Amino acid sequence: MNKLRLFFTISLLVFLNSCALFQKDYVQFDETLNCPEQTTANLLAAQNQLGYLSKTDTLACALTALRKTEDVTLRRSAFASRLCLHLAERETDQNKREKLADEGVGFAETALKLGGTGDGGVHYYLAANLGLEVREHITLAINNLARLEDELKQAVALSPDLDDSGPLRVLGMLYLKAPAWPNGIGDRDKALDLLVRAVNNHPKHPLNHLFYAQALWDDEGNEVTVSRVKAEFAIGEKLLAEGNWGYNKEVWKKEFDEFAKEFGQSESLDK
Amino acid sequence: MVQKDKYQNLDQLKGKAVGGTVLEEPSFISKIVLAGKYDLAGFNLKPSNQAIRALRSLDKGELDAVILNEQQFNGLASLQMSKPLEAIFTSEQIPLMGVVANSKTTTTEERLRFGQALEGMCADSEGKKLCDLFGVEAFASVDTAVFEPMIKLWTDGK
Repeated sequence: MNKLRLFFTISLLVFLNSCALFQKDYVQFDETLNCPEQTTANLLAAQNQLGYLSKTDTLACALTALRKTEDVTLRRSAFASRLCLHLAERETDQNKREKLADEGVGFAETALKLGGTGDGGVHYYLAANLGLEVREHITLAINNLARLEDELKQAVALSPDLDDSGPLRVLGMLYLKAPAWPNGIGDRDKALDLLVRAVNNHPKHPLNHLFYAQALWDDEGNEVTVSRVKAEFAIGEKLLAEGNWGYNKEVWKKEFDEFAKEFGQSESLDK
Repeated sequence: MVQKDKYQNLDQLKGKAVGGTVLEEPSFISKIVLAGKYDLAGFNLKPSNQAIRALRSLDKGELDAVILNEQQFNGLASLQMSKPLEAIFTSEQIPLMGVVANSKTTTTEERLRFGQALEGMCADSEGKKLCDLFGVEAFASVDTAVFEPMIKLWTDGK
């Protein structure tokens, strides 16, 4: 039994080291960051403190430390993948954004291999990063639809309330935007069901309202009134303006503005 | 498509609720699909922009029938319906619409160039990726004889 345990430990260390040896071309952060020395205990404690309100440098330092850690508890969690997503979302350079998202996918895949399959956050951040990575590449996006759906369904089953109904919100949008049956997994009924649940369960998140408004707007066959779309949009816009959403605020504002433009143009055409 | 054994032919669907995405183009359905033999005004049409929603409504009994195109029909096996469905009408073979150009807003040269580009697309290394993605084997020039019966149905139809 001791020999077996030793074999397993050595195999795990070889696996973790080989990950470092074959490291991809990751986004390198400014060497002048002066990141503080991070212990495993520090990083574990930081998990609940770092998020969209954190400064970019702080997230970059934490990610740099996580790239080097061999602690299985950390590598099995969604922490590194989540940090990659936060950094990617605020990155304006497309190439760097996609690299960060790709790294986030890689961290989540490692977490799954190390036994993180029961952690909804691992599935959620894998999907969120994957979605961000393929967003600008139609063939990649379509080729990854099944995987995105599968990961998000697991996230919904395991952690539906994560990130203020994030799994419901993102899966709902996937069903809204994907090609419809029989060409793909797109399904307006599923989208509406998930997004109304997101709004009801977490009514204070602005994107829940924006995405629901978009689904209502897209659902022309259901005799949706323009006033209902406007109402949801207005609620979301107010929540965004009044809430403390940190670095997400600017990014989300653009999404609201884009939909407002589309909505406004359609309204003026109907007149 | 109808719930099995509920209706046997199109005459029995007169006045009934008929759904489907293809109803977005009622003239095409009337003149080409039904070959001018049935007046669509005799049905209570419920066009939909999602076929899966129309099929769910059929399954629940909210619609009496749904018209599907061939691609949708072939995808039925992937859906889980609580009631079995059956087809009570199948049209004659209708050629794929293909890529068409408006002869009033394009020149002969433009149409020729575009056609040649399309014909080479699936053989091109980049173009092949898109073709494979959408299940397109190749783009081929149209044999006009294939469309002549359709053109006749359209011009003669009501």
